[in-house]
Amino acid sequence: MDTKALFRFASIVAVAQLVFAGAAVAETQFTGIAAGATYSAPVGEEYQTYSESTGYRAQFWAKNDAVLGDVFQLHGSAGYRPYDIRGLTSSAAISLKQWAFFLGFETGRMTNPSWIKPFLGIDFGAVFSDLEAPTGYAKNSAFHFASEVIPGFEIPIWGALSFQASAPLTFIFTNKVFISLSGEGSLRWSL
Amino acid sequence: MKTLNFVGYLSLLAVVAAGCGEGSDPYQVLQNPDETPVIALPMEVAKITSAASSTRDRLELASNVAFNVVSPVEGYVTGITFEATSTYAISIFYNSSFSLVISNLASVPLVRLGERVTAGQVLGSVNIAQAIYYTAYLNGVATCPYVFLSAADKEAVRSRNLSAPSYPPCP
Repeated sequence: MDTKALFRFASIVAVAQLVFAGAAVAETQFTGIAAGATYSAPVGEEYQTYSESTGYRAQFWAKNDAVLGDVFQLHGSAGYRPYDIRGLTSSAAISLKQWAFFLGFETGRMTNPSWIKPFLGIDFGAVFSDLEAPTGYAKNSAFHFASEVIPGFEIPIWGALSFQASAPLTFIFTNKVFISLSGEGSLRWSL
Repeated sequence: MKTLNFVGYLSLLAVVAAGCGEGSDPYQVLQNPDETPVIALPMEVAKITSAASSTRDRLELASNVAFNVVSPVEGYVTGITFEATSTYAISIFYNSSFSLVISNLASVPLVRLGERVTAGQVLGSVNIAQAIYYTAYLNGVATCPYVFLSAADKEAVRSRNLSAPSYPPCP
Protein backbone atom coordinates (compact mmCIF):
# COMPACT_ATOMS: atom_id res chain seq x y z
CA MET A 1 0.00 0.00 0.00
CA ASP A 2 1.26 3.45 -0.89
CA THR A 3 0.07 5.18 2.26
CA LYS A 4 1.53 8.49 1.18
CA ALA A 5 -0.59 8.50 -1.96
CA LEU A 6 -3.73 7.92 0.07
CA PHE A 7 -2.95 10.78 2.42
CA ARG A 8 -1.99 13.04 -0.45
CA PHE A 9 -5.31 12.42 -2.11
CA ALA A 10 -7.18 12.90 1.17
CA SER A 11 -5.33 16.21 1.58
CA ILE A 12 -6.38 17.37 -1.87
CA VAL A 13 -10.01 16.59 -1.09
CA ALA A 14 -9.73 18.31 2.29
CA VAL A 15 -8.10 21.42 0.83
CA ALA A 16 -10.72 21.62 -1.91
CA GLN A 17 -13.42 21.43 0.73
CA LEU A 18 -11.80 24.14 2.85
CA VAL A 19 -11.54 26.45 -0.15
CA PHE A 20 -15.19 26.08 -0.90
CA ALA A 21 -16.23 26.25 2.76
CA GLY A 22 -14.45 29.61 2.97
CA ALA A 23 -16.38 30.79 0.00
CA ALA A 24 -19.75 29.87 1.37
CA VAL A 25 -20.94 33.39 0.58
CA ALA A 26 -21.05 32.45 -3.06
CA GLU A 27 -23.00 29.57 -4.38
CA THR A 28 -21.13 26.71 -6.01
CA GLN A 29 -23.06 25.22 -8.86
CA PHE A 30 -22.62 22.20 -11.00
CA THR A 31 -22.26 23.28 -14.61
CA GLY A 32 -22.06 19.98 -16.41
CA ILE A 33 -21.78 16.22 -16.33
CA ALA A 34 -20.32 13.91 -18.92
CA ALA A 35 -19.66 10.26 -19.62
CA GLY A 36 -17.61 8.68 -22.35
CA ALA A 37 -15.04 6.19 -23.54
CA THR A 38 -11.27 6.43 -23.45
CA TYR A 39 -8.66 4.74 -25.60
CA SER A 40 -5.25 4.88 -23.90
CA ALA A 41 -1.74 3.79 -24.63
CA PRO A 42 1.20 3.77 -22.22
CA VAL A 43 4.04 5.98 -23.36
CA GLY A 44 7.73 5.08 -23.36
CA GLU A 45 9.13 1.90 -21.80
CA GLU A 46 5.76 0.87 -20.39
CA TYR A 47 4.40 0.49 -23.94
CA GLN A 48 6.51 -2.67 -24.19
CA THR A 49 4.72 -4.17 -21.20
CA TYR A 50 1.13 -2.98 -21.39
CA SER A 51 -1.21 -3.04 -24.38
CA GLU A 52 -3.59 -0.26 -25.38
CA SER A 53 -6.71 -0.01 -23.28
CA THR A 54 -10.35 0.92 -23.81
CA GLY A 55 -11.86 2.42 -20.68
CA TYR A 56 -14.62 4.63 -19.42
CA ARG A 57 -14.90 7.87 -17.52
CA ALA A 58 -17.57 9.98 -15.81
CA GLN A 59 -16.92 13.68 -15.20
CA PHE A 60 -18.50 16.68 -13.56
CA TRP A 61 -17.85 20.43 -13.61
CA ALA A 62 -18.77 23.07 -11.06
CA LYS A 63 -18.30 26.82 -10.91
CA ASN A 64 -17.80 29.19 -8.03
CA ASP A 65 -17.44 32.79 -9.20
CA ALA A 66 -16.16 34.07 -5.85
CA VAL A 67 -13.25 31.62 -5.68
CA LEU A 68 -12.50 30.67 -9.26
CA GLY A 69 -13.91 33.66 -11.14
CA ASP A 70 -15.56 33.09 -14.49
CA VAL A 71 -12.38 31.78 -16.08
CA PHE A 72 -11.79 28.61 -14.08
CA GLN A 73 -14.13 25.88 -13.01
CA LEU A 74 -13.75 22.81 -10.86
CA HIS A 75 -13.45 19.49 -12.66
CA GLY A 76 -13.73 16.02 -11.19
CA SER A 77 -13.70 12.58 -12.72
CA ALA A 78 -13.74 8.88 -11.99
CA GLY A 79 -12.54 6.43 -14.60
CA TYR A 80 -11.58 2.85 -15.29
CA ARG A 81 -8.91 1.51 -17.65
CA PRO A 82 -7.85 -2.14 -18.08
CA TYR A 83 -4.48 -2.85 -19.70
CA ASP A 84 -3.52 -6.29 -20.98
CA ILE A 85 0.03 -7.52 -20.48
CA ARG A 86 2.10 -8.09 -23.59
CA GLY A 87 4.19 -11.19 -24.20
CA LEU A 88 2.40 -13.72 -22.00
CA THR A 89 3.19 -17.35 -22.81
CA SER A 90 0.14 -18.74 -21.06
CA SER A 91 -3.51 -18.18 -21.90
CA ALA A 92 -4.21 -16.61 -18.50
CA ALA A 93 -6.13 -13.36 -18.93
CA ILE A 94 -3.88 -11.21 -16.79
CA SER A 95 -4.52 -7.51 -16.82
CA LEU A 96 -3.65 -4.33 -14.99
CA LYS A 97 -6.81 -2.50 -13.99
CA GLN A 98 -6.69 1.17 -13.06
CA TRP A 99 -9.44 3.04 -11.21
CA ALA A 100 -8.68 6.76 -11.26
CA PHE A 101 -10.18 9.53 -9.13
CA PHE A 102 -9.27 13.10 -10.03
CA LEU A 103 -10.15 16.60 -8.92
CA GLY A 104 -8.78 19.78 -10.48
CA PHE A 105 -9.36 22.92 -12.47
CA GLU A 106 -10.25 23.70 -16.03
CA THR A 107 -10.10 26.86 -18.10
CA GLY A 108 -10.98 28.04 -21.60
CA ARG A 109 -14.48 26.68 -21.95
CA MET A 110 -16.65 29.05 -19.95
CA THR A 111 -15.80 32.41 -21.46
CA ASN A 112 -15.23 31.27 -25.02
CA PRO A 113 -17.95 32.64 -27.30
CA SER A 114 -17.06 30.49 -30.31
CA TRP A 115 -19.04 27.47 -31.43
CA ILE A 116 -16.19 25.07 -30.79
CA LYS A 117 -14.89 25.62 -27.28
CA PRO A 118 -11.32 24.52 -26.56
CA PHE A 119 -10.37 23.86 -22.95
CA LEU A 120 -7.40 22.87 -20.83
CA GLY A 121 -7.60 21.17 -17.46
CA ILE A 122 -5.21 19.93 -14.82
CA ASP A 123 -6.30 17.37 -12.26
CA PHE A 124 -4.74 15.69 -9.26
CA GLY A 125 -5.84 12.57 -7.50
CA ALA A 126 -5.17 8.91 -6.91
CA VAL A 127 -5.14 5.81 -9.04
CA PHE A 128 -5.86 2.39 -7.61
CA SER A 129 -4.02 -0.22 -9.70
CA ASP A 130 -4.70 -3.92 -9.51
CA LEU A 131 -2.74 -6.62 -11.34
CA GLU A 132 -5.11 -9.54 -11.71
CA ALA A 133 -5.18 -13.08 -12.98
CA PRO A 134 -8.54 -14.84 -13.19
CA THR A 135 -8.30 -17.69 -10.68
CA GLY A 136 -6.12 -18.73 -7.78
CA TYR A 137 -4.13 -15.58 -7.96
CA ALA A 138 -1.95 -13.63 -5.58
CA LYS A 139 -3.20 -10.05 -5.58
CA ASN A 140 -0.90 -7.16 -6.33
CA SER A 141 -2.54 -3.78 -5.92
CA ALA A 142 -1.66 -0.30 -4.71
CA PHE A 143 -2.72 3.33 -4.62
CA HIS A 144 -0.54 5.92 -6.29
CA PHE A 145 -0.66 9.68 -6.48
CA ALA A 146 -1.48 10.81 -10.01
CA SER A 147 -2.09 13.89 -12.09
CA GLU A 148 -3.57 14.55 -15.48
CA VAL A 149 -3.37 17.29 -18.09
CA ILE A 150 -6.45 17.43 -20.31
CA PRO A 151 -6.50 19.48 -23.52
CA GLY A 152 -9.64 19.19 -25.62
CA PHE A 153 -12.57 20.86 -27.28
CA GLU A 154 -16.33 20.84 -27.03
CA ILE A 155 -18.82 20.91 -29.91
CA PRO A 156 -22.48 21.68 -29.16
CA ILE A 157 -24.90 19.12 -30.57
CA TRP A 158 -28.36 20.10 -29.46
CA GLY A 159 -29.52 22.28 -26.59
CA ALA A 160 -27.55 21.45 -23.47
CA LEU A 161 -26.03 18.37 -25.08
CA SER A 162 -22.55 18.56 -26.55
CA PHE A 163 -19.75 16.30 -27.67
CA GLN A 164 -16.30 16.76 -26.26
CA ALA A 165 -13.05 15.29 -27.46
CA SER A 166 -9.91 15.40 -25.36
CA ALA A 167 -6.45 13.92 -25.12
CA PRO A 168 -5.66 13.37 -21.43
CA LEU A 169 -2.00 12.86 -20.56
CA THR A 170 -1.92 10.91 -17.31
CA PHE A 171 1.02 10.60 -14.89
CA ILE A 172 0.92 7.91 -12.22
CA PHE A 173 3.76 8.26 -9.74
CA THR A 174 5.00 4.76 -9.00
CA ASN A 175 8.68 4.11 -8.26
CA LYS A 176 9.03 5.29 -11.86
CA VAL A 177 6.34 7.32 -13.62
CA PHE A 178 3.69 5.50 -15.61
CA ILE A 179 2.63 7.87 -18.40
CA SER A 180 -0.29 7.24 -20.70
CA LEU A 181 -1.75 9.26 -23.55
CA SER A 182 -5.43 8.86 -24.29
CA GLY A 183 -8.03 9.85 -26.78
CA GLU A 184 -11.37 10.45 -25.17
CA GLY A 185 -14.83 11.10 -26.55
CA SER A 186 -17.76 11.89 -24.30
CA LEU A 187 -21.22 13.34 -24.26
CA ARG A 188 -21.59 16.36 -21.99
CA TRP A 189 -24.79 17.71 -20.53
CA SER A 190 -24.64 21.34 -19.42
CA LEU A 191 -26.57 22.08 -16.24
CA MET B 1 -21.98 23.54 -1.22
CA LYS B 2 -23.40 20.51 0.54
CA THR B 3 -23.43 18.68 -2.78
CA LEU B 4 -19.76 19.44 -3.32
CA ASN B 5 -18.93 18.29 0.20
CA PHE B 6 -20.83 15.12 -0.52
CA VAL B 7 -18.80 14.56 -3.70
CA GLY B 8 -15.60 15.13 -1.74
CA TYR B 9 -16.55 12.65 0.95
CA LEU B 10 -17.70 10.18 -1.68
CA SER B 11 -14.35 10.40 -3.46
CA LEU B 12 -12.49 9.88 -0.20
CA LEU B 13 -14.74 6.97 0.69
CA ALA B 14 -14.10 5.39 -2.71
CA VAL B 15 -10.36 5.63 -2.14
CA VAL B 16 -10.56 4.08 1.31
CA ALA B 17 -13.22 1.48 0.52
CA ALA B 18 -11.40 0.22 -2.56
CA GLY B 19 -8.74 -1.22 -0.25
CA CYS B 20 -5.30 -0.13 0.72
CA GLY B 21 -3.43 -2.39 -1.63
CA GLU B 22 -2.21 -5.95 -1.32
CA GLY B 23 0.88 -7.86 -2.26
CA SER B 24 3.49 -6.05 -4.29
CA ASP B 25 3.24 -2.82 -6.23
CA PRO B 26 1.77 -3.98 -9.57
CA TYR B 27 4.09 -1.78 -11.60
CA GLN B 28 7.19 -3.12 -9.85
CA VAL B 29 6.00 -6.70 -10.28
CA LEU B 30 6.29 -6.37 -14.06
CA GLN B 31 9.32 -4.13 -14.03
CA ASN B 32 12.42 -5.79 -15.42
CA PRO B 33 15.07 -4.49 -17.79
CA ASP B 34 14.18 -4.66 -21.46
CA GLU B 35 17.25 -6.76 -22.22
CA THR B 36 17.21 -10.53 -22.52
CA PRO B 37 18.58 -11.89 -19.24
CA VAL B 38 21.38 -14.34 -18.60
CA ILE B 39 19.54 -17.18 -16.92
CA ALA B 40 20.49 -19.98 -14.58
CA LEU B 41 19.40 -23.58 -14.55
CA PRO B 42 16.26 -24.27 -12.50
CA MET B 43 18.04 -26.82 -10.30
CA GLU B 44 21.38 -27.30 -8.63
CA VAL B 45 23.99 -28.06 -11.26
CA ALA B 46 25.50 -30.78 -9.05
CA LYS B 47 22.24 -32.74 -9.17
CA ILE B 48 21.98 -32.91 -12.97
CA THR B 49 22.74 -36.34 -14.31
CA SER B 50 21.32 -35.87 -17.78
CA ALA B 51 20.76 -32.82 -19.95
CA ALA B 52 19.33 -33.28 -23.41
CA SER B 53 16.93 -31.86 -25.98
CA SER B 54 14.66 -34.31 -27.70
CA THR B 55 13.00 -31.31 -29.35
CA ARG B 56 14.66 -28.09 -30.45
CA ASP B 57 12.71 -25.87 -28.10
CA ARG B 58 13.53 -27.22 -24.66
CA LEU B 59 16.13 -28.65 -22.36
CA GLU B 60 15.31 -31.83 -20.46
CA LEU B 61 17.06 -32.01 -17.12
CA ALA B 62 17.05 -35.15 -15.02
CA SER B 63 18.60 -36.28 -11.78
CA ASN B 64 18.94 -39.57 -9.90
CA VAL B 65 17.90 -37.88 -6.67
CA ALA B 66 14.83 -35.83 -5.79
CA PHE B 67 15.45 -32.12 -6.07
CA ASN B 68 13.82 -28.71 -5.80
CA VAL B 69 13.08 -26.66 -8.89
CA VAL B 70 13.92 -23.00 -8.41
CA SER B 71 13.08 -19.91 -10.41
CA PRO B 72 16.01 -19.07 -12.71
CA VAL B 73 15.09 -15.38 -12.82
CA GLU B 74 13.25 -12.71 -10.90
CA GLY B 75 9.80 -12.57 -12.47
CA TYR B 76 6.04 -12.88 -12.24
CA VAL B 77 4.12 -16.16 -12.31
CA THR B 78 1.71 -15.77 -15.21
CA GLY B 79 0.65 -19.35 -15.64
CA ILE B 80 0.26 -22.58 -13.66
CA THR B 81 -1.33 -25.31 -15.73
CA PHE B 82 -2.15 -28.95 -15.05
CA GLU B 83 -1.07 -30.94 -18.08
CA ALA B 84 -2.58 -34.06 -19.62
CA THR B 85 0.39 -36.00 -18.27
CA SER B 86 -0.73 -35.17 -14.70
CA THR B 87 2.14 -32.79 -14.27
CA TYR B 88 2.32 -29.04 -13.76
CA ALA B 89 3.82 -26.30 -15.92
CA ILE B 90 4.82 -22.92 -14.49
CA SER B 91 5.21 -19.82 -16.70
CA ILE B 92 7.44 -17.02 -15.43
CA PHE B 93 7.23 -13.61 -17.08
CA TYR B 94 10.55 -11.76 -17.10
CA ASN B 95 9.65 -8.96 -19.49
CA SER B 96 7.31 -8.53 -22.44
CA SER B 97 9.71 -10.28 -24.79
CA PHE B 98 11.15 -12.99 -22.55
CA SER B 99 9.41 -15.69 -20.49
CA LEU B 100 10.35 -19.09 -19.12
CA VAL B 101 8.24 -22.22 -18.81
CA ILE B 102 9.26 -25.07 -16.53
CA SER B 103 7.08 -28.13 -17.06
CA ASN B 104 6.67 -31.82 -16.21
CA LEU B 105 6.64 -31.01 -12.48
CA ALA B 106 5.08 -33.89 -10.57
CA SER B 107 4.39 -32.03 -7.34
CA VAL B 108 1.93 -29.23 -6.67
CA PRO B 109 3.73 -25.90 -7.27
CA LEU B 110 4.72 -23.92 -4.20
CA VAL B 111 3.96 -20.60 -5.88
CA ARG B 112 0.65 -19.08 -6.90
CA LEU B 113 -0.51 -17.50 -10.11
CA GLY B 114 0.20 -13.79 -9.87
CA GLU B 115 3.07 -14.15 -7.40
CA ARG B 116 6.31 -12.23 -7.76
CA VAL B 117 9.19 -14.72 -7.54
CA THR B 118 12.85 -14.03 -6.96
CA ALA B 119 15.78 -15.82 -8.60
CA GLY B 120 16.42 -19.00 -6.62
CA GLN B 121 12.95 -19.19 -5.06
CA VAL B 122 11.69 -22.78 -4.82
CA LEU B 123 8.85 -23.45 -7.28
CA GLY B 124 8.26 -27.13 -6.53
CA SER B 125 9.98 -30.45 -6.28
CA VAL B 126 10.77 -33.27 -8.68
CA ASN B 127 10.88 -37.00 -8.05
CA ILE B 128 13.87 -39.22 -8.60
CA ALA B 129 14.65 -39.94 -12.26
CA GLN B 130 11.99 -37.58 -13.53
CA ALA B 131 13.07 -35.05 -16.16
CA ILE B 132 11.82 -31.49 -16.10
CA TYR B 133 11.36 -29.52 -19.30
CA TYR B 134 12.87 -26.08 -19.46
CA THR B 135 11.79 -23.70 -22.26
CA ALA B 136 12.47 -20.04 -22.95
CA TYR B 137 10.04 -17.92 -24.94
CA LEU B 138 11.60 -15.11 -26.92
CA ASN B 139 8.98 -12.82 -28.46
CA GLY B 140 6.42 -15.59 -28.13
CA VAL B 141 8.52 -18.28 -29.80
CA ALA B 142 9.61 -21.35 -27.85
CA THR B 143 13.39 -21.41 -27.81
CA CYS B 144 15.96 -23.68 -26.26
CA PRO B 145 17.16 -21.88 -23.12
CA TYR B 146 20.73 -23.11 -23.58
CA VAL B 147 21.75 -19.99 -25.49
CA PHE B 148 20.64 -17.77 -22.60
CA LEU B 149 22.53 -19.70 -19.90
CA SER B 150 25.59 -18.37 -18.13
CA ALA B 151 28.93 -19.78 -19.28
CA ALA B 152 29.20 -21.96 -16.18
CA ASP B 153 25.74 -23.44 -16.68
CA LYS B 154 26.42 -24.05 -20.38
CA GLU B 155 29.50 -26.02 -19.39
CA ALA B 156 27.47 -27.97 -16.82
CA VAL B 157 24.88 -28.87 -19.44
CA ARG B 158 27.56 -29.88 -21.94
CA SER B 159 29.28 -32.12 -19.43
CA ARG B 160 26.02 -33.85 -18.38
CA ASN B 161 24.93 -34.33 -21.96
CA LEU B 162 27.36 -37.22 -22.33
CA SER B 163 24.75 -39.62 -20.97
CA ALA B 164 22.40 -38.85 -23.85
CA PRO B 165 24.70 -38.39 -26.84
CA SER B 166 21.92 -38.91 -29.38
CA TYR B 167 20.34 -35.61 -28.32
CA PRO B 168 22.43 -32.45 -28.43
CA PRO B 169 21.72 -29.93 -25.66
CA CYS B 170 19.96 -27.64 -28.17
CA PRO B 171 21.05 -26.51 -31.60
